[in-house]
Amino acid sequence: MGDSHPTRPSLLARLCNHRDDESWAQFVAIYGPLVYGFARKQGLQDADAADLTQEALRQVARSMPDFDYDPARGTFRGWLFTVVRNLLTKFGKCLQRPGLGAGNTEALDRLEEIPDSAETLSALWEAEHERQLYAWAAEKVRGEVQESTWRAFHETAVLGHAPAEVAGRFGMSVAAVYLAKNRVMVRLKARVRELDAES
Amino acid sequence: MSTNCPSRENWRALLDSALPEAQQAEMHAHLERCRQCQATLDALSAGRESWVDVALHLADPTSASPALDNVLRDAVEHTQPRDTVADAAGEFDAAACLQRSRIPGHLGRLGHYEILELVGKGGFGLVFKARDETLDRIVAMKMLIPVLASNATARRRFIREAKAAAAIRNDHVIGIYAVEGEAAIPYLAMEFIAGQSLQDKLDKKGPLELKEILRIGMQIAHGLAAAHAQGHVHRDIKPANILLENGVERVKITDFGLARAVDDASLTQSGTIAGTPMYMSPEQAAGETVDHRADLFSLGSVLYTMCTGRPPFRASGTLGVIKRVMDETPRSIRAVNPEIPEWLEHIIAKLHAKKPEDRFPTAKEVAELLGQHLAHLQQPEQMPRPAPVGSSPHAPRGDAPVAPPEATAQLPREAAAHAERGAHTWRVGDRVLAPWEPEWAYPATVREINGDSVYVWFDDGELSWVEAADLRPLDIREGSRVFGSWGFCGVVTERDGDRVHIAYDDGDEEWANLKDIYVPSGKPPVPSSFWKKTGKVALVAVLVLAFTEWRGYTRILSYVRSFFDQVVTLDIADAPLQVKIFETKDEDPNAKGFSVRMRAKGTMQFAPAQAFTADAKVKSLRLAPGNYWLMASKDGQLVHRELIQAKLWGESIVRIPSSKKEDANDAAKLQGKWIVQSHARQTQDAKDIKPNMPLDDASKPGRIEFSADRMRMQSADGDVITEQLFAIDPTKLPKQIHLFGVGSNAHEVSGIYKIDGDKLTLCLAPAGQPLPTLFKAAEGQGDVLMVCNREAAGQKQVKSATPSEDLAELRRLVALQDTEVERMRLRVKQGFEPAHALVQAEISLFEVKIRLAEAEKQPISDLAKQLIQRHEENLSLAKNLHNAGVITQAEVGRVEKNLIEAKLKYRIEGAP
Repeated sequence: MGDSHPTRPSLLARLCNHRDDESWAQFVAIYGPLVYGFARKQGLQDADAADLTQEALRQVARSMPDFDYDPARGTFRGWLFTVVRNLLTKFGKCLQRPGLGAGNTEALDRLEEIPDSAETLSALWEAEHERQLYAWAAEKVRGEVQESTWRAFHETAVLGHAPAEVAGRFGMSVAAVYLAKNRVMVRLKARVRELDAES
Repeated sequence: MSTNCPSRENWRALLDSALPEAQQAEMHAHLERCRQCQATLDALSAGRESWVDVALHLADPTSASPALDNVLRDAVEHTQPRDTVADAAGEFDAAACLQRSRIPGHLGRLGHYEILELVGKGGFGLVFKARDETLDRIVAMKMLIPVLASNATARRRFIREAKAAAAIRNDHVIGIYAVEGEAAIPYLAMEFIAGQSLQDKLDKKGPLELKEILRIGMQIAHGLAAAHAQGHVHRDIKPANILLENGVERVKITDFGLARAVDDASLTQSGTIAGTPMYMSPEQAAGETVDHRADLFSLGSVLYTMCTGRPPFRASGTLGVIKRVMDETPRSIRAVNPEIPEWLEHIIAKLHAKKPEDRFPTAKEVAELLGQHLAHLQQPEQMPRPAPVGSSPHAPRGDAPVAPPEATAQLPREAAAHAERGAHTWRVGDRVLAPWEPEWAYPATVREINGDSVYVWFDDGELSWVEAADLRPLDIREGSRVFGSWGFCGVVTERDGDRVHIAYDDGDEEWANLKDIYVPSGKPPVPSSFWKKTGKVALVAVLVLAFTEWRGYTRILSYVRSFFDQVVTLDIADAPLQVKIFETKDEDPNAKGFSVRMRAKGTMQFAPAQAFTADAKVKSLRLAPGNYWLMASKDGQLVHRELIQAKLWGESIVRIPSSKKEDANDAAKLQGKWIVQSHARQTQDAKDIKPNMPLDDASKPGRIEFSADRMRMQSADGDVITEQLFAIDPTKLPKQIHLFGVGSNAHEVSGIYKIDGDKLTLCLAPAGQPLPTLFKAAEGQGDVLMVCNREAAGQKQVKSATPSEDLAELRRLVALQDTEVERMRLRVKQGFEPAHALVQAEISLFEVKIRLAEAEKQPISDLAKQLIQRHEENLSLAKNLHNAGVITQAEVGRVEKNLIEAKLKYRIEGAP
């Protein structure tokens, strides 16, 4: 999970060169929630985070025609992170411990390590990106499997309930639960890998 | 694996659904019972880390956000990534949107309208001059640009504007003739006004004449009254939206684009701040619900602009403006334009009240009042002068600090003089200071005497009987400390008959009439019994600026002790410079602060400090850099104490609501928690930091000046903040002051202050430089005046350490962290910290010990084991917290992740 995966050139290339609606829509669908999620984690409220996201998307849109995607100069994700960071300061938020100011509990504050460096903040961004990839992949996979299958997966893999208990609750066999859990997982991994892969 | 179990390949195939039915059924049956195969399956599909990742990422979904959905939808709806309306407007292609006009030179036709020319851009549309062929009159046509015509939100807003304006019939509101909302290009036909906007006029002329201001203001107020009567709030009153008809200069309010009926809540996008910030009301800026009184605030801002030529709230960015609108009071009008009379200033001040209920209740009232004044000006003999508006002169100016009534220091002298006057004979015509409110005394003249009672005529027109014994001679002269307009304290620098020139503590200055100033009445406030009286849960913060050497701290100790009936041990390194105590009441969300100034003799004075509310997003307090003890008291008992740090000047305390359920066993737990946030916005890279760089205030650079009893921060564009300090013997000023910030991000204020005479400048340390180095540099450089709480600085320093090879350095870090662990152990024992805080500190300790061991080329296996043991303990504590509902599964996952990473890391290096 450690390595940072560069943003697929294909999406960007499409955006820069053709500016077609579909790639823009896909871009918004993936990166919009990423920016939003990151802004929320930095303590912005819902409305402010949405505003920031809008601003960030605008900036991307404005930059698209001139954006010269050159992997050597750094990832697009990194550039977007800079944009978001600047917007955060504009929105009056200092980059701070995740969860601070978001109404988290005192205990949570203690558990969190205080991020100390730009590297850590960048890691937070990367983590959020990772999270967003999973969320996006999860949406896709969910659409491809039966609801009962997804539920079995969610209860066991995400919520951590014992398969036997889940089986009892939903009237499935234990085997079915295990199969559901693992099949979804395989698909999920494949999707995430796909999103990350270089074209 | 038992021989009955299918092979891994088989399981793999089953996952891929690549097996025949019969075999599948058999494997299902086996899977039902066999734990080993269940585990095998899990391992096949994904590694352990992936399972953790999935749980982590998917357990914590972004909660549904309609605001975000709107944003995303809008972003996609614009068929090509498009920027602002302005850009889009620039692409309005008349030829494509309009029908061809028969007349050359005209832009085109739309229905029965002949479009003549573009006259402006406003709101979501473009405004054209057009001729209505059917009625043969010139109209203004506002059209929604094509790109936005396809945006449902924009269209709805456009139609809403039309409806709003159409409902209002008034000379001072632009009339609507027709609206077409369904066409491909929606449009709005309205009165065409030949003339300029108020903004244009101000741009050309600057501040206006008094009569003109009244005339225009009155008309705007009338127009607003008509709108409000229909239940509409304009929400975007600003000079650009006030048209002045040529010739008669009749006012027409325009652009109801943001107006909405008070009950029409459905179409407003959640969270969007609509309107121009500079003329916006605080409630609008805060995104709260607004009513007609928001327009009154904007009216006040427009009046201000007419008086001074510039808007009242200015800053370099939108958010800076919003902050000013919400928190600050504009510069005194008369300071900029002395022609403006006080009564107008008072009216504008009342319109500018931050709370709607403190403003005039209706626009009609304002219109009438302005009309009366205008009538009086035009015919002074015939028309009476209207009654003065009672603007309360001692209302605090927003959240700006009210300087302590320094006059209190004069009290002993004056009180003594007062006592003597018990039998003083006053005579008619004597100029006196007479009390009006319990705490304040105002200049007055004696009019009548009746035994012990004296009838006085206050300079501002009031009359009252007062006790002879409460009077003092009016002795306001150079050097007197007085309160001027809006509750600010300052020193009289010049007296000229009935006028005095006041230099305010915050740098502002003005000529004021005697009747506009006042002084403390001579009765000292009674602080010491305050806490006992209220008996409510109070949130108390004590500011502690460290002093290495300070006389009289024992007196503070005893005073604080009597406050809380509890011993509060203050280390000499923590001896305070100032003590600030804030109280919040349970049912009243407004918290009041009191600032206590230390005096060498150990006396303490109370003065109301800035008021703030417990609402998390709105108010904050400016703090001087340093450590804060956050204390809570109840019924005079200290019940909670924790240390927080303020890193920079202008750092603020913001209250965040606590989501933790109250611990039933401890009734004194705080309702909320205070955190310190930095105002600083700029992230400075190391390369940008130069020596002698000016200090960055909240939004602008500035300089700190340090004089005998004040620390004064002046920003580049003239705003000044003054903090009064403990009286320092000027002959003992040190050569250098070391102020160590304890933040670890780039806003850290670690650095060296250089004192030159009475000026103090800050040289920021290069970012990333570890504090111990600064400590070292500080030694032998002169007297040290201030140093932050060393142990806190030490703890921070360990966490932010850049890897250092220096052994001595590492050893020092270990020692520091060791102390921290011990401190934490004690605090956990005392119940001030939860258990995992200690474990966390121990984790840091072992981490740094391992680094030291590595640098010393010692084996680390034992240390690594202990470290991992602590991680596991942390995890088990986290799980308990999760079961208790305190933290989420995702957080537990994070802790587990750290444990896994530690295990991986230290298994690879070092011994098995």
